[in-house]
Amino acid sequence: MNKPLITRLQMLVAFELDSLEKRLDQARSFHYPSAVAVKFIDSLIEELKQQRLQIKQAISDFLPEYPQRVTNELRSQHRLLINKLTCLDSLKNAQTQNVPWSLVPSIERIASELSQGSQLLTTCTYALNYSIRWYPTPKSPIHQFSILQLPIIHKHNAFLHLLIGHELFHPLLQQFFVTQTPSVVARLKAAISHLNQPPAKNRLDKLVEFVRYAWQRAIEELMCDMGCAILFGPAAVFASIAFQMGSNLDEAPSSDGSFYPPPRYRIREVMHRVFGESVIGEAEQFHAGLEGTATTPIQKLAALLKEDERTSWAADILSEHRETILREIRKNDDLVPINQNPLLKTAYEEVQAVLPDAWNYIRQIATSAGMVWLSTIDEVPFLLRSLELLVPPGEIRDTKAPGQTKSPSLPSIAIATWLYQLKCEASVDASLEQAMKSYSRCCRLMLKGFEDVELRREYDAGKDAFQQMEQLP
Amino acid sequence: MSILTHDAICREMTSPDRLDDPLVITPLLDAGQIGQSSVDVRLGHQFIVLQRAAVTHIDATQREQLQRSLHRSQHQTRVSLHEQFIIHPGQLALGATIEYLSVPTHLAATVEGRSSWGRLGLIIATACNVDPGFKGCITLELVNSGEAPLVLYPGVRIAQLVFHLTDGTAKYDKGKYDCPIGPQFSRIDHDKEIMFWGGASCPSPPVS
Repeated sequence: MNKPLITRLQMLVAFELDSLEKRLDQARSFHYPSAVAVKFIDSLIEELKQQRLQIKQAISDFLPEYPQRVTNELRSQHRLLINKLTCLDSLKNAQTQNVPWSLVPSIERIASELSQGSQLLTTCTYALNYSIRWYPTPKSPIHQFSILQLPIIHKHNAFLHLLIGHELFHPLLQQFFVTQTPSVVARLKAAISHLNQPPAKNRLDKLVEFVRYAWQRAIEELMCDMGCAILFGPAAVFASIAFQMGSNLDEAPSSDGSFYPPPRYRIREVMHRVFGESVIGEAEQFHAGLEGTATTPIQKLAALLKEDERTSWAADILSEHRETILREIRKNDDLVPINQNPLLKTAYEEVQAVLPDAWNYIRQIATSAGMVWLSTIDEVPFLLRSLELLVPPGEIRDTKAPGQTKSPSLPSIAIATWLYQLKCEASVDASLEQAMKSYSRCCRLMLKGFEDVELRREYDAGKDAFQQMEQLP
Repeated sequence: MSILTHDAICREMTSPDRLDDPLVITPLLDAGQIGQSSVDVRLGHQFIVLQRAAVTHIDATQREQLQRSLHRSQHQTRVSLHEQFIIHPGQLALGATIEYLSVPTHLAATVEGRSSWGRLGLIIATACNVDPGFKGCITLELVNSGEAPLVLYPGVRIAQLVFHLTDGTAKYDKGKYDCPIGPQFSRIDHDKEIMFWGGASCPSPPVS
């Protein structure tokens, strides 16, 4: 490339650098619900500075002798800049007005408890899906940030936002796949070679890759589902069902659908692995000698709610929904399309083989972060009583001493509000309009509950520091 | 109508007789917020500020235009903890209490500005009555009537609630504002008769 063209390229990159830097500076002036966005902006600006230095260095080192090296360097910097443009979109969608800001501090806390030092930017998207983007091998400070996306159409729908718990586990699975994939691929290769019509040798690798991908996507989604259920207990299942009601529960995994496992399959595995529920019907249980097995965690919660007559309605609601879910997952309609396709069948046989390890891996992460719904279920009855009064479930009040309160856990808030909402839904005389009003009200109460928990946490931490300061001479 | 003292407020919040309809103030970050005859409440994170340049005027009787006008002229914002919210002289901003209130049906409350803020020019809550049975965060109409801009922070004790016993119990209708958790845009257009009193496009007055 001759000098005038290099100059033009240099100007293009310089223009882009200036423009991006200005836009980032503007982005800093908007409101964000936490400090993460500003840190994100600072990291981006720092990277832009580095890029400027690298360009300057390349020009001084290689011009005029090596114009091609300068061209390559400028093009490489141009590509890096183009990649950063999506960050502007993320920042715009991370502004306070665009995200469910009451939830953001809680989301960030869960993320940091699951993975120390995680930096999570919460944003919204017009797509109807929850998703997370992260860099498995961070190479620069900006790669330390994960970007969580929530569907903007459900911004105020606190009940669905529990699915964030699912997304937060995605970046934590890398080690599991590093360990498992080689042996799984070997087994898949053997299995595909032994199919009735073994593929030609040159096609084998492609088929193995197809099946491995279907396996990995299924395991990924199932592990994240299990993680979410460990965090939020039955509320995670209610949220998952509510979100997936719009799709076919028995949709076969396909490349069009990013190989998501069928919703029924996912709910079945969560109910079985996380909640110890039997996924076979009562008659089969009887024949298998499994009748009358130990109380499951959901039954334990129902029993706890039954103890107090003021919350016994919630026990009935919970038991009724448990039964409904069990009835649904005992149907095997989702398995039909999987079993009809030899490749999917192979992938899902491997899914079943690996799931016990996957479950242990996820359980270990959640337990070591101290985030298990079951450990705080005794809070749920108190919160239900608050909700019955249309009071946000953000505090457990000492009924003997006003002002003596403690913060409930986030899972307890989620479970209590879901149960209360299910009760409102079950109200036979409610019109759709009333039901919608009640749903919005419950969303607000849940969001306020989450917000109050984080506020108290910050207040208590600040109060201790303030008291220490006051004691200084 | 008598004003509740510290002990009476505490009794209303904790008495086992009141389990079905207690006085709830949540989150009560500090028990010291309950004073001798009032409860201090804190400023929340959410604000609605008016943008003068956005509309020519607001006519509450023009129902269709009103909501559009309000959304154009009022901008909702959220200020994080330790961040400043600045209210300029003459400016009206809507805020809300952090505390969510559930008032039993035999009590009513009034919202009063704290004199310490008043002395700086801040007027709080022009619609200061809280009905028996009310549930929600209280919207505060904040006006800086002083000469200098005032810096407010979420969490500061901004107002106080004074509780009164009512003569009989009231049946509360959630009405226009249903369990709000932040400041609410005006819903003056929900007033049944407002259209009647309006201008040319309003229906004719009823003939007796």
